[in-house]
Amino acid sequence: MNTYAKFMREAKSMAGNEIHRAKIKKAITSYEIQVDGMKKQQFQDWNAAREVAAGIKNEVLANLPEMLQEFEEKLTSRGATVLWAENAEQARHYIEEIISRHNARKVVKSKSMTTEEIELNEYLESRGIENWESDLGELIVQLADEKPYHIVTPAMHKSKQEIARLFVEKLGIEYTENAEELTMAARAHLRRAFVTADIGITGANFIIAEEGAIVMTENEGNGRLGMACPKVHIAIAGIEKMLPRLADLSLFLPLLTTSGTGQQLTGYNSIVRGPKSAAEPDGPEEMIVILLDNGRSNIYAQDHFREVLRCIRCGACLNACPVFRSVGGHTYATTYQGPVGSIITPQLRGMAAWQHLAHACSLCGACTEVCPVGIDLHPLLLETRWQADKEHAASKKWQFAIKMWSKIIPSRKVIDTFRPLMKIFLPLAKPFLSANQKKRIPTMAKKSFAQMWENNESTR
Amino acid sequence: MNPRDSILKKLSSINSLQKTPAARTQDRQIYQDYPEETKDELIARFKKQFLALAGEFFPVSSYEKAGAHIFELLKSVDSTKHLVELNPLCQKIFSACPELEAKFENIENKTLAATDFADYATGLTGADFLVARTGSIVLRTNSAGGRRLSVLPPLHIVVATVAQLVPSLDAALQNRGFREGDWSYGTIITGPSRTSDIEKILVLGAHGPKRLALILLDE
Repeated sequence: MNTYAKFMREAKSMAGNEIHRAKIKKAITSYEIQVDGMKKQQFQDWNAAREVAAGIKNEVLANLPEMLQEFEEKLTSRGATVLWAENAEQARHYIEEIISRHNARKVVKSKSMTTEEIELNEYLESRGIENWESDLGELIVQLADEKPYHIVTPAMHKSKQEIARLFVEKLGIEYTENAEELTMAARAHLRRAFVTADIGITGANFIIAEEGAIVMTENEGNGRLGMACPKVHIAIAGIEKMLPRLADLSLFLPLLTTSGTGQQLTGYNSIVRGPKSAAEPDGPEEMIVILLDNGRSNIYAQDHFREVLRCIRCGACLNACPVFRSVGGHTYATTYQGPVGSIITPQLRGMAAWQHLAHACSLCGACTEVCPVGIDLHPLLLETRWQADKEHAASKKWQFAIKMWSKIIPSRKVIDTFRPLMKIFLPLAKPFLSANQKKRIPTMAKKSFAQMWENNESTR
Repeated sequence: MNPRDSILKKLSSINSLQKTPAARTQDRQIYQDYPEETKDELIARFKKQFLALAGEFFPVSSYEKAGAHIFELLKSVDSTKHLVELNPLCQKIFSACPELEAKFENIENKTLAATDFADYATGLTGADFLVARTGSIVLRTNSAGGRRLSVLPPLHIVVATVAQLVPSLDAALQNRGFREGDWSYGTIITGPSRTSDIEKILVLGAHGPKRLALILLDE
């Protein structure tokens, strides 16, 4: 089944799933209350903060090649290695090389969407490497053999009852619905993995040009443990994660956290400038940063789409999106879900297979309103449709329908000619008109508005 | 062409890019506006934030009192194994309370593998900055005895002085001393380890320390 047909099938089934809807409503309502409160508590002027953040990210985009080289030079000078990957395969190849050089058997991973992007879990499993997801949400989806549901909240779709049953089956604990007891079970399960792993793999929320540093934001401490215990630390960062200066963190950390979870700051924000230095008692002997392009330079090359590289992956647009809320994260079948995912996926993975995501949008603009770096998300979704049409990337059926539509709709005469036919045609077109066939197609009025206008009739 | 040059060449070949001037963060009032605060107001602000994050806060006026609080904290855990990064402030506290010194093992005198940390209940470290606005503690590896001491033991005790208190994260990151020194790792700690990955229910002590205590000395 192709990606479009699969999306339609999943979307239909999820939109009518009331249990899913209740779980997501609960999670997002609690998120919204937190975020609204924190915006007021932390910021005098949220919109001014967004504008400044967008300005700093534009500065990055204007100077990206120079900043990447500065980052590489500074980080390398402290003994770290910087590797550049044009695509997922190259990134995996680098990791394979490091693993075999160290004869490593055990990897402990912290939450990272770039590792999802290069499908690292599947790859490590296929090579027989023990791979421990250490973020609680990621652990839950790993144990359930699923993909993350949401870029920030991977297990948003799981109730505590479902997690309890999963832990009973996979971790062998006593059944409990107590969130604290479940968290402690995960803590105990992973403790030994942290201190015995050969390699720690993390993502990066930001990389700093001026400082040659990577920055990791987290709450649990699993990222810190993964960078403190194993003798090798690998970090994978998209090239767009750049910030010019260390001091920019004083805006971007609160901005990311407020939008992502409604906290003032996450529990731990770590700044890593290299492997352990000579004076330090512990830390990895080797640190490797893999800079991942994987299609980002294609987005960068397009004037219209470049601004989407400002994205800091906070997940706010997913939570705000009425389509995400009804079809759910897994329906997208992409690494990045929701509005921003629907813009970048066609660019990163091909227009023909993924352009349908840009149509799963009512252009309501809720995403644009919440974006902390001021990306014009819904206009870019429209732009994606336009580009898909220009490149004839849509299905033949769709292209034909649009062609007919564009012939009929500009002319009053043609519309009037077609009107009687429409009465017959409309019910037949039902499957094409709505994603959810539970929707009712309205019946047509006896006279058109134009006819009534001409006869000066009242509609009452 | 190697991947590095190929990526850089692709990024550099865009002609339509506008070279925008460096963005400035000081142009507009962004953050909640607090008037310039006195020392006591900063302490009060820090305390409020830190307590809201479930931190344990002990303001003290002498080394003896600092020592007494650390003693009490050690009593609250069911283990006798404790580690310290013996920075000058800890040294002064230990001199004032000699019986405390015997309770701790100095991390500098030991070579500990990551697995050895399982036995230890407490890590005692210094700090570089305290951030009033967010109730955060800023550590770098040179003040914290490396990366493991402040994250592996379930109880993390920090000793700091009021002189280390700054109003905002910006003030800490822009401080001249922050970027100096041969440190590889720094972390901004805001409360004990936590998670809300299960139905958004807050649980403390996910993977890092379950408890975070601060002894704040005002001489």
